[in-house]
Amino acid sequence: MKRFILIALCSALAGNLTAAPLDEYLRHGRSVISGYGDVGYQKSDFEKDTFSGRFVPIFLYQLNDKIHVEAELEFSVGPDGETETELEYADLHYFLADRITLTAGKFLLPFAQFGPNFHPSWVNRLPTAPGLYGGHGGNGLMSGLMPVLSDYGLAGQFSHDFGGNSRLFLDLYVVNGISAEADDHSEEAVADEHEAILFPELEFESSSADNNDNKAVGGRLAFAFLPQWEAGASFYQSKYDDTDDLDFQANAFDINWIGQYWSVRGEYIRTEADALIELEVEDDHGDEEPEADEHDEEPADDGHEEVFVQKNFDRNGWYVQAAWQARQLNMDMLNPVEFIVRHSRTREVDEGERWTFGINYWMTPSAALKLAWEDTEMDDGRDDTRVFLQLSFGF
Amino acid sequence: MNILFSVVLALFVTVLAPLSVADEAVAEGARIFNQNCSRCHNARPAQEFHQEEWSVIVPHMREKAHMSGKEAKKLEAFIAVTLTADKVTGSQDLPTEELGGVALMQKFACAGCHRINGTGGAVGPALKGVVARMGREGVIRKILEPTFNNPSSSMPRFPLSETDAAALADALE
Repeated sequence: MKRFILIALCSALAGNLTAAPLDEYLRHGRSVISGYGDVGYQKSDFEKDTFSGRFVPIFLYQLNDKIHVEAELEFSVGPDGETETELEYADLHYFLADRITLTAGKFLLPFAQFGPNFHPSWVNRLPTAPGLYGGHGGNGLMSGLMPVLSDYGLAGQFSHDFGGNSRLFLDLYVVNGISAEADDHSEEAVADEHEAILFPELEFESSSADNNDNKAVGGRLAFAFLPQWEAGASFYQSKYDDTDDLDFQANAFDINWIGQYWSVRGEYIRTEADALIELEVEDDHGDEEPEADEHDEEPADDGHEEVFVQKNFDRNGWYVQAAWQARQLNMDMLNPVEFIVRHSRTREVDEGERWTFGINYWMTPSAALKLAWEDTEMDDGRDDTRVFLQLSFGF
Repeated sequence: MNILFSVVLALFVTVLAPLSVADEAVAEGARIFNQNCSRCHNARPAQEFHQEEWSVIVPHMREKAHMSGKEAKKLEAFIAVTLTADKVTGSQDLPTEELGGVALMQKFACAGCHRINGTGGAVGPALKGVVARMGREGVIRKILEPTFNNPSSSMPRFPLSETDAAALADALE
């Protein structure tokens, strides 16, 4: 009897496999143009009030079940009135196995969450980027911690299903890495007479070419209990000068906590950057020479030597953002309304804090009218207040 | 007798299992929809794109959300059952499923996004007491026209007739 049942089940299983019932639901497309954009108005005491806008199409191509190609272009108009175009990413995913994906090209670095996932304007609940992302959609007095959000290279993505809703995510990548901007002496920091660092003047950029043989490496390890929360730790390490002497490292911790009507996002980023500091040392006073590694000496006409020493800048910053959807009140009029508050803090170089309060009206799940008020107070006494009105849309 | 039994058993499993496997994939796809889309952004209702477009978008999101290939396919299956490109929700032309409310909830995997009898997703509100909150007509209208009381609702516009919607409302009472 058992033998017959076994035979029956085996034949049924074979029938099921050949039936492939899931395929009845599936169709195969070739390409899609999606993306996002925004138009906004900014009122500030610090800068002239301006309208601005962006159009960011994303081109998706499915070559077959294993190969997926994607590219994102950003079109905007700069302060000089010229149209600016930027290739945010252009890469190819190869789905090597069920839970292994390889990526090649220019891709968004899986460093924390804002850069790879939250930065599109219809995904970002506020019209501005957090203060520690000053250079990437940020504004005002705060400068960004992480120099690049995307770069050229190779990446591998792995995930593990622990069962239930628990997942482990691992991303590893090797990319060209950052380089100091070439049009100034940007790797030279400035120090006062007490060797206190005034400003690093480190400006980084990524390009399709690398300025040294060293490649940057990075990755992110995250644990998620879907869909409620996800916590991740990221690292990034790159040499940025022509001679592979100067190092930039970044580490981050991120958390994303989702409720039915609310969400909390937060990131902490710490960076360390080597920089050459120029000190002036009198010729006949050996005791004033710096103890740090001397990098270069140039005799000067006024009896002083210009001595460059290698120092390390340690910066850090964080943000926490909370959003609440008023549909929890079960009042039809308030269903599309959302309230957001964000606090950002940067330490060491451009120290300051920023509060941002916003209210969104969602016209569709991917189109929102946002109104936000942002107040920045720097530790050196400068402050800045701005009001933003933005219409953002994903398509 | 044994041979007859095994043949009947094989036929039973062969005929019914593909349906259950597909339905299970849809239900699993709804759960994956609930688990992943809202992690970063508002979930977008299926009718925003055609099914062929979703087949290209889902692999894009697979990488971003760290989904497996199997999960991506199940997500596509769930999206597919909510789409009927040539039919309009509530249309008189739409054939009534006549499955009954409970079976319809299973077919369209309502529990993927809504908590029902203590289990289910959290993208949408819990359905306990929903008829008392919205009224029977309100529930029917919500099923047929999900954005009527919230333009940002991510609830898909299911291919259901008014009769089906009424059956669902009855089952939720």
